[in-house]
Amino acid sequence: METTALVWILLFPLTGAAVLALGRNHLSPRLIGALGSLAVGASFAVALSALGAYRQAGAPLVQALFTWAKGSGFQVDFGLLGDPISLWWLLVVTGVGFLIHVYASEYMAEDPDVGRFFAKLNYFVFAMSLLVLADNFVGLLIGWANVGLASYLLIGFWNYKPEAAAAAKKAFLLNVIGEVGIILALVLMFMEFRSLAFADVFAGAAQADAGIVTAVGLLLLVGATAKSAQLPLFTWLPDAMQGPTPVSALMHAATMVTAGVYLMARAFPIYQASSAALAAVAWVGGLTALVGAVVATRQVDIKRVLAYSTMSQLGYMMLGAGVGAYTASLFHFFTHAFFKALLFLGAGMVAHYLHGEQDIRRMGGLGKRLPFAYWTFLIGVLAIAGAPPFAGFFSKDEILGAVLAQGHVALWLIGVLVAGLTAYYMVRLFALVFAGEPAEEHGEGHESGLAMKLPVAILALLSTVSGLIAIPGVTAVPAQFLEPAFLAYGYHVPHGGIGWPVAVVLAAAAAGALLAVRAFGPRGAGRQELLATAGSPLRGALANAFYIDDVYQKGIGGLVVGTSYVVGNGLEPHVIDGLVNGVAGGVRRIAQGLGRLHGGYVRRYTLVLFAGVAVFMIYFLLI
Amino acid sequence: MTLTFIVFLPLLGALVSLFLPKENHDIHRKWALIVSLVALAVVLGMWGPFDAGNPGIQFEQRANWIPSIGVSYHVGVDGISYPMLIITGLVSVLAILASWNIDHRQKEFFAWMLVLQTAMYGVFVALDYILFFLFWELLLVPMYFIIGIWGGPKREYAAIKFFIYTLVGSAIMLVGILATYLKAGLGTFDIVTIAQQANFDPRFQFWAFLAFFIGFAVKVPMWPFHTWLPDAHVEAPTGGSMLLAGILLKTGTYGFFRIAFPTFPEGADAFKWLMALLSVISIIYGALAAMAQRDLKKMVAYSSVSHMGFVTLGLAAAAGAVAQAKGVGDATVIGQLLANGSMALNGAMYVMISHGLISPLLFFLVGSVLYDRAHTRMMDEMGGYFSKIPVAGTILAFAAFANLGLPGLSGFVGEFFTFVGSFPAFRTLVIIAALGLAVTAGYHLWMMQRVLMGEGKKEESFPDINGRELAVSVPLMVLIVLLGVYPALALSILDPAVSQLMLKLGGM
Repeated sequence: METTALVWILLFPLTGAAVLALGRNHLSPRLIGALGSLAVGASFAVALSALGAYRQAGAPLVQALFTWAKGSGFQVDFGLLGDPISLWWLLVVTGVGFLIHVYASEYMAEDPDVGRFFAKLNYFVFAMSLLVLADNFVGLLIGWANVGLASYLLIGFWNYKPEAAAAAKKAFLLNVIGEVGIILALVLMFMEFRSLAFADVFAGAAQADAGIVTAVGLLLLVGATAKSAQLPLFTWLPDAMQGPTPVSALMHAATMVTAGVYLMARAFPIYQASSAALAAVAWVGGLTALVGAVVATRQVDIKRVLAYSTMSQLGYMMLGAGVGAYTASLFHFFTHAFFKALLFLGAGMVAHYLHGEQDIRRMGGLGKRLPFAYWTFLIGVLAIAGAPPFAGFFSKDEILGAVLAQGHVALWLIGVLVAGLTAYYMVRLFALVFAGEPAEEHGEGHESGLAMKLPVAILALLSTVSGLIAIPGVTAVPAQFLEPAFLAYGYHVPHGGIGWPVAVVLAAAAAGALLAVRAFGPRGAGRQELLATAGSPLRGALANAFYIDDVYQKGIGGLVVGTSYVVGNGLEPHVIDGLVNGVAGGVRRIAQGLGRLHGGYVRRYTLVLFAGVAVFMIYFLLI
Repeated sequence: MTLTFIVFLPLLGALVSLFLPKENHDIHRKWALIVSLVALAVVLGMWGPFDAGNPGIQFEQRANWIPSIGVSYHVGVDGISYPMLIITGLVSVLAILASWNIDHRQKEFFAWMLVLQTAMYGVFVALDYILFFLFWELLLVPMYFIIGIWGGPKREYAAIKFFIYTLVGSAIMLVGILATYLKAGLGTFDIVTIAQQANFDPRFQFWAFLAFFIGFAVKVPMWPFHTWLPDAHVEAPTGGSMLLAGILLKTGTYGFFRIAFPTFPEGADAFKWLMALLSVISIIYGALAAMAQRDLKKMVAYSSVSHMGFVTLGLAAAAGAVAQAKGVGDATVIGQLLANGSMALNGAMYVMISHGLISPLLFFLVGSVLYDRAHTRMMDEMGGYFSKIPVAGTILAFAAFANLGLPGLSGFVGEFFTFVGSFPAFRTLVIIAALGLAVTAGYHLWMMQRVLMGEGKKEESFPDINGRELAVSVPLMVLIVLLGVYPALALSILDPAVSQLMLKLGGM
């Protein structure tokens, strides 16, 4: 159905970003926070009304905007698409984004650059909405790249900090590597389909050249691994914590990292046409879920634990997409947005209270001082750990059920193991932060105000109840809502069953939680052990994510920079230019002989030149 | 007449300025600005009457000049040259604004800037070989003096290197011109007539293309003929660097579009692999060399080598597409292959336009805005400019992201079309070039980390960007965004002309 409303989802935050950027030095912090939140809130309202319009029409909303490019044999039309997948995403992006904006209006109120902050935050929401709304791959790529730029600007928000500058650079660079994959995918796509519109590409995917479709699928996956912090391009995510906490919440829950999952779901006809590419998605997801969870068990920074947990949970989503269970994958994206935003904002309240302290070895006993943070964080922990009836339980089990139903036993086992590890590291985190006695005295901080508490409370509520929309056998909102988008290209999304596998997952989670309580509870031995810094090589490897980042930075990065020095400082001045100067020197020596006859520099050279021309000329005309 | 007016107005302005009082410094810059603005206004005024759908030559004017040997004064524009005229007019105006505070020999400086404009406009409108060659050579003279008199410490070395290098290139090109004239046997030096009517055998086309190739490749510059560029760009005063990077490099690639490809399609076919290879080497080598620089201006200079590689890659791919189409029976497939070629050429032209906006912006920021404040070009002596000069810092970041090809800005569009159009012909090379994007992003990000972020020197404090500097930057920024968001605007002018060139290459 034709609509004119969708574009407003983009225009509100874009205008907000522009107004805030220009007015950053003239508006009061309160007004800046209010305007920034209002812009995203307005987008959310439009997204809701678009949802209503979609349900009424029963057909995807489309809005043609303009012809982006047109020439002989090619045309790229730019339009917006409001189908179930994009509406699903938009509601989370703008809804959770709005809550985070409200939270940030208090959290960042003291920062001298609060105007710049909200301008960038609005721009982030704009870019993500563009990514999700585009009806063609060029628009998706533009949104994709601008999400990358927004993350660069926000990770590096405190750009005077060298660590923030380095983290921003790393995030953008890894994302560019992903983008190279997407650009090459688009190049292949155009060669095969002569179009970059979703409709044309997806309609033709099943009949297309199998090799090209597989290559496209794998190249898109490269892009997704960078954006969604999957193996092997995940190393930017833990460092991205250098940005202010609301940024982390926004990146991990609503924008940025979920873009890879979106791409896998959006481009599903490609993956359904190539079982090899689909299997690659599943394995990347499964292994990432495992690596993220394993590494998270050894982190000592509250935000790094959460960062690796995001990586791991995104791995679940990719795993779901990789077995074709898109509705389960997208359902997990939905619940994860709530509990991950909740956890990050909770971590922000803790850090706020402790004047920026993020090392969990120096925390403890905060439950008594921050009861609100305690209870809401606990809900987040229960939700991510998969405790029934919290949200993560239902969505995680949907994915694992589908994995098993599709016959991927190895991946299912990995998923079960990850469930146990997740419960372990989250309970460990919770125990170290909130339980026991304070490890160190931090002085009295102040507890957060209403603008921070209210969004957290809403997210806690959603983390508790949002799973209930898909109780197996009772409700199936995500499946019912999303399925038309997949049926549109003739794909029946598979689902898993319920029964003993759920019990196995639950048992794994319970075991993980119990182990963590034993080790890190108020009287646990792990607490003391953690404070003793010495560790085995294995522990060091885990704490440093297997040193993969070092391999990239010192290995590959060093190689590229080293090559550049060889080129720029060796080859260029001494060989290439040296050759030129050598020739020039030779000519000069010859010319010096002739120079007795001629005075001026230029004339001397000109003579030599035209002598050369004459010789060339003669040669030329004789052959 | 319109084109003649545009071409000679700046020269006339330069002559008039000779009679203006030498002591009154203000009058020279104002006069140069007014003259350039009038020329730009006339160029922009052509937008309405210019028929975008017509692939042929428009605003044509022809007069006999030396009839005995067939030299004529023949000028005109098509969809390939008109965008270059717009960029020339715009960057000329901005370069004069950027040179507002030149501190010695103002009268001469602005006179040379005006002469340079005549030469640039002339190259893009000339349709006669002799006329083209005259303007081509005329480019050198003002630029030689601009670098040699108002340049940096190594200005004389740089100016002479620039002069000799391009003169060698154009001398070889002159041989090509004369040989083409004689071999064609049409008794005319007309570029269009020769391209349409002459019937050159492949062997001659090989040699003639090579002669033009060398002349143009030096100007572009293609690796390994590029070493004049970093010296010239770095030593040139800001206004000179802006025009050098923004316009003069494009005269080289423009020569391929206007002369070498349409006149010697078989020659292009013979050299397509070499050209594609050198292009990709330029892209990667330029990016790596840029990464190694400490000198910010030199980094930008090497990035030009890298970016111009996309233009020549697109050109080579057009020849590659024609080669692929030969011997194919299926008309649909032929159509698609030729469409690939058109797309590559559109991409190449788009890179020329986009780089014609981005590189002047970068050179202005680096050579003037930053240098006037920090008095250094060394990146490790800078730092923290996001905090110290937030607006100028943000504009530099904008220019850097545009230059690294951020989708949504103009730099991306041309590179993307070049990739899409070139891939079918040169798969491996395009993949390597695409990997170069990561290197390009790398050195820009590293630059921003060193220049804009961090704390920098504690005691430093500068005023942020001023009104004149904004007046130079903002028009470029607006166009970079506009051409990134709405490429159809430029493509509507480029595509008809480029597609006609493609048909000519395909022998249709």
